[in-house]
Amino acid sequence: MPIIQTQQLFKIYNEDTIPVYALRDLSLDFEEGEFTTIVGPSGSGKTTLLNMIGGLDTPTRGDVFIDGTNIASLRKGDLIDFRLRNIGFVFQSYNLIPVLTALENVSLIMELQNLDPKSTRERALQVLEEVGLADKLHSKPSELSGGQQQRVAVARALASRPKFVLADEPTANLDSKAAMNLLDIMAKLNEEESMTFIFSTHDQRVIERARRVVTLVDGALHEDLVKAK
Amino acid sequence: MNWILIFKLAWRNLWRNKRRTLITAGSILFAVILALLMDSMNIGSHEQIISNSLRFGTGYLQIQDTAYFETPSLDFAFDLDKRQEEALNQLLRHHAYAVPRVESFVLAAGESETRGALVIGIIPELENRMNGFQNFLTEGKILNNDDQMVMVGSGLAQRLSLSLHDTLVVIGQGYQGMQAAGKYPIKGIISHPMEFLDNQLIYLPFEEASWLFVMDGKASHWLIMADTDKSALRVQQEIEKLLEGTELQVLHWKDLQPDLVKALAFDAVSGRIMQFILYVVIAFGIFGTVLTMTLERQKEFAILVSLGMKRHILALQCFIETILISILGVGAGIVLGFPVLFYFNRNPIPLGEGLSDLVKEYGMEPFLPFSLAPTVFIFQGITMLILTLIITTYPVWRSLTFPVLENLRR
Repeated sequence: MPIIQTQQLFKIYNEDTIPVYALRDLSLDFEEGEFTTIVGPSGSGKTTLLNMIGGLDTPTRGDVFIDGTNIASLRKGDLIDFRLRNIGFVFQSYNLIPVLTALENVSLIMELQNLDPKSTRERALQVLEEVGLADKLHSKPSELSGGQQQRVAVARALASRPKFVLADEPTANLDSKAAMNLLDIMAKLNEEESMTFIFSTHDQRVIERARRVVTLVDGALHEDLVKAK
Repeated sequence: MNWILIFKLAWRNLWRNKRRTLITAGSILFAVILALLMDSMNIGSHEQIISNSLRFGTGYLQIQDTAYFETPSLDFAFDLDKRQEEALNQLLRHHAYAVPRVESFVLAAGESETRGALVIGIIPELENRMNGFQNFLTEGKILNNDDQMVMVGSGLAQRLSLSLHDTLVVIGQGYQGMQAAGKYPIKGIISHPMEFLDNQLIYLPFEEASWLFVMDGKASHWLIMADTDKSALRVQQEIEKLLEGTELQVLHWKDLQPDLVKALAFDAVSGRIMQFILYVVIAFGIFGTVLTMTLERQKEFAILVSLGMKRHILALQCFIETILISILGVGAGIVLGFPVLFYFNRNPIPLGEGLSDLVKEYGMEPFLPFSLAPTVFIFQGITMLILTLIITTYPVWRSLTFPVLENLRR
């Protein structure tokens, strides 16, 4: 059974006047352990799709099922809780909490889940070490470079072992070296922890590393390419 | 709910812009100090008025004939029998004491002037315990119980052109229409702090006053002095039981001086209105900070909610932030305000000459007293807390309703 299913997903703005289709009849399945990129030109609906899957936005029509649960059926509070326990987010502009250190940022989701403080700390340390930031534990985001901040964001998304990670153009603000470094880390975690990754991106380097490339044009599915291993 | 995380986030957010937090807490601090000063001065002057009124006038409680309150005539004088007096003393013990009084208005004359005056028959030792009148002696000596002499207020002495050892003549009406007339040398002159009393006061020993008014040892009323108003109320209930079945009653000072109670209440309301205006100004200052703190972090709120922080936890965090600023300001205000109030409590501010004469006319002492009553501090704390609670409704409402996606895109 796919971990994520979208069924005839529509997102229409100004439906009553001049309708603008952000997503158009989009049905996709994502299996556990996938390393998938959503590609397409600007305005093709990549971010909208990720927001729908992440429960941050609601479709005009259609459904999103996560592990068999239709997220539209969840109440607002339950949906937030569902996100907390099932989905990891990596944003284009890192979106770390500026008043928390790298270690605290990575611990944040586990603390919100009320996990045991000792195991939370151990896991946060482990993930920060995996992303190569063991020496920046107590640095605030303002003291880190863009690449380092994005690695903290990835560590934060992964630390609580979510069912999948949604990454919206994670390399867009990074230089080439930092981007490759980040991709290496995510590919490694995908392999070692069977973590499902879904990226939206324009970045050719990300597309090259992905095993499945979903192309959207004008909100509709244009191509769904699974690369041979 | 992870309280440590919530407090950590709230505390860190407070200090992400140190200058702004310090300015806000500082404005609360100065408002609290100012409000403390205003309230302390207000309550202090009320305490002084009440204290003077009780010590020099009615006492906390008064035992009197049931008709005396309506018609304060010596005809309603009474004496307590031995059993009643013993029972009263037993009841009062250490917390209060009873002072018999004879009070009546007379005409007082010197060599060439005549004025209306108030004769108060006192037991000097008890009177001194009650109001320390000995401290106001400016010339001569204090009365003894068996003296056939008077002490007069300096104002009266001046009006009658009398000096120490001169003779004062009094004439008035005694018990049940008897004529009361006497001639007394002036043993002492006191400068009474309440000017209206100073201008008409004649102290006579209780025995001599009783003789003057032909009262045969009766008192026009008994004053009861207590440690506090609270203990006075307790004593009042017990005396009421003691006086059951007699023609006597015990009245609280608030019953005896309803006009004073109303005037103080009116003054208190005026003071509160001034404080309210001050707090409204400060509230807008705090609200400005809270508004900025809330709006500038909308994206951060959106991140937290998208990561899985429930909105009510976010609201709680915002609530705690605002409360913390308030606690900082109020706490510092009280800590810094206390020594200031303490200083002024010990060293009341003397009033200038013009103002001094004015307040004397109202029976007040010519300085600004400051109170250290716990209510002064508690009231400010509670007021600020309520204000802050009102202000927190904005960040709480905002964090419960802001659109996540729109703010995430910022």
